[in-house]
Amino acid sequence: MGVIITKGLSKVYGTKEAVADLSLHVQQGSVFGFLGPNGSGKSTTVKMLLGLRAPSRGTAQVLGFDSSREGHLIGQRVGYVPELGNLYPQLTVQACIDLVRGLRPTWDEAYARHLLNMFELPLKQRVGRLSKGMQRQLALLLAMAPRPELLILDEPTSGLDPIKRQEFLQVLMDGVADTGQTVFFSSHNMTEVERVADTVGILYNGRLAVAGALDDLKRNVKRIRVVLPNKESLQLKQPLRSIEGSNGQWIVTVEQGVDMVLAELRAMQPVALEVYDLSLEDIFMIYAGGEGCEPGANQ
Amino acid sequence: MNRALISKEVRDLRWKLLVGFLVLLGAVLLMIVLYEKLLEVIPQDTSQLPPFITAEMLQGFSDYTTAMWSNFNDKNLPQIGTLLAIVLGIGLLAPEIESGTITLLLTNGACRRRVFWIKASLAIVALILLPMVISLLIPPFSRVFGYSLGHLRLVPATLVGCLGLSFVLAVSLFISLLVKDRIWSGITSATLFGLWSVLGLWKSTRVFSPFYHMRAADYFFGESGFPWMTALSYLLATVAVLLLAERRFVNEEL
Repeated sequence: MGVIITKGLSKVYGTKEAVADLSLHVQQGSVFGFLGPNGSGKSTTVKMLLGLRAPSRGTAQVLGFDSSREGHLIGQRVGYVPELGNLYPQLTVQACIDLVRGLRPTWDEAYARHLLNMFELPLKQRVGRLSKGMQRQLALLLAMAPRPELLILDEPTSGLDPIKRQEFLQVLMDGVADTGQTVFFSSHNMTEVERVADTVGILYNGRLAVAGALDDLKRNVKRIRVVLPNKESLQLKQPLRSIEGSNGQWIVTVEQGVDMVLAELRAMQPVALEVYDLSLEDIFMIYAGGEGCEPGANQ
Repeated sequence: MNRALISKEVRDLRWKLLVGFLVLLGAVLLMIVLYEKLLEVIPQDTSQLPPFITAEMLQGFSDYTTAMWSNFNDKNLPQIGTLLAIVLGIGLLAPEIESGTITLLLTNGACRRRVFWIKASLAIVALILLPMVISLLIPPFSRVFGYSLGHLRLVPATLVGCLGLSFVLAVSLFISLLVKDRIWSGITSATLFGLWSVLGLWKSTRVFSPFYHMRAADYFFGESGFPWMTALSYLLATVAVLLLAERRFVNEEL
């Protein structure tokens, strides 16, 4: 079942297309890592999903509700941690909790207390006086305590030190493991996404460059180093992501059908042929790092 | 949900309202306390008066009831009340949109229309209640200082003034949603109403000034009944501007 379904979702500001023709399908119970460099359109997408911004074209359905007309119904079922704080700095931690508790009928008081004790948040302190890490923890508490069906996290750990980031992710994953919530996790931090996500989508210049199960991506996207001394150019029948190199030494990046590409290369009797497994960061760099090609290009 | 939004809004408004209440109350008390002294310093020879102070005005001032109306309904309410209405209006939504805090409410299930109407109606109710309470306090305070009001038309006249202030608040709120910056919203609103009030200086144009009708002068002096049409006009104008503002907020990109 699709918890988030977007079809041709686009957002245009003047002449700039911040999000272009985005079609996503996030399955129930999955942790979807939504990756992209800064300014790639991640936050705009998140805001459209929550009904905070209207799409210029296309549709977004979240938990079966149309985001452009039923944002408040989505809000009743979603927990959201924004990139930039949206907490009232003049309120105390207690007042902030009281406010959200009053808005959310599904608020789980016992779970909220558990998180509060874990984070050791000072209830009488004003939010504006909390450290950034504590503000993030409070935002996570407010998002998770209503036990939402879907958590939408927009760069939730930006600005946190590595220890706080680890703690944040641990709490998140523990909570998700307990409840089977769906998580839509927008980030440009590969390490944390690789740790928590089972499915990823990479956004580049507002367009979805690639999406799929993380394991499938790692299985399919490979880099091959091949040495063919007598070849001045390399032409292959199989579709490739890119070919770089010269003078018989080539680096081939494959998106799918690695076995077929290897068979084709072996037939050329190479002096050396090596296949490299790629990390999520490597894959991200291929699709969004501007490695000499636009997404979808096939040299 | 309504309860949470209302208590949050009351918390946000309380200091502004308290300051507004104290300033208005202070102005009223000052007038009551100093009334006798003021009578003593007013010159008997009207030829020495500056041109904008007429003998008629002085005559009116010698009557305590008229003096209180002149001080509160004709001056303090349109001046201090307008400032308060602008401060409340520009502070309702624009700062929350600017800082992003409004998304905390909207992403926790509060719909935009509900947020808008709770904020606007609470501010307007407070803006009406605050001067009304003060106007109700004028008779007992006057009695404490040995004065009594000839009649109590000052109180219903204040209601007309309050409805006029609601219109000021609605316009300021709408401007703040267009300008989106608290300071510039305040400057724009104050400039607009400052210029608008200029129309009240001349007999031929004062009918176009929103502040002129807020005094309910004819009613107070017993020359007409309660100005229902004026009150209704303020009410309708307020609702019309609020509907425009609501539409603007509902379509706002956050």
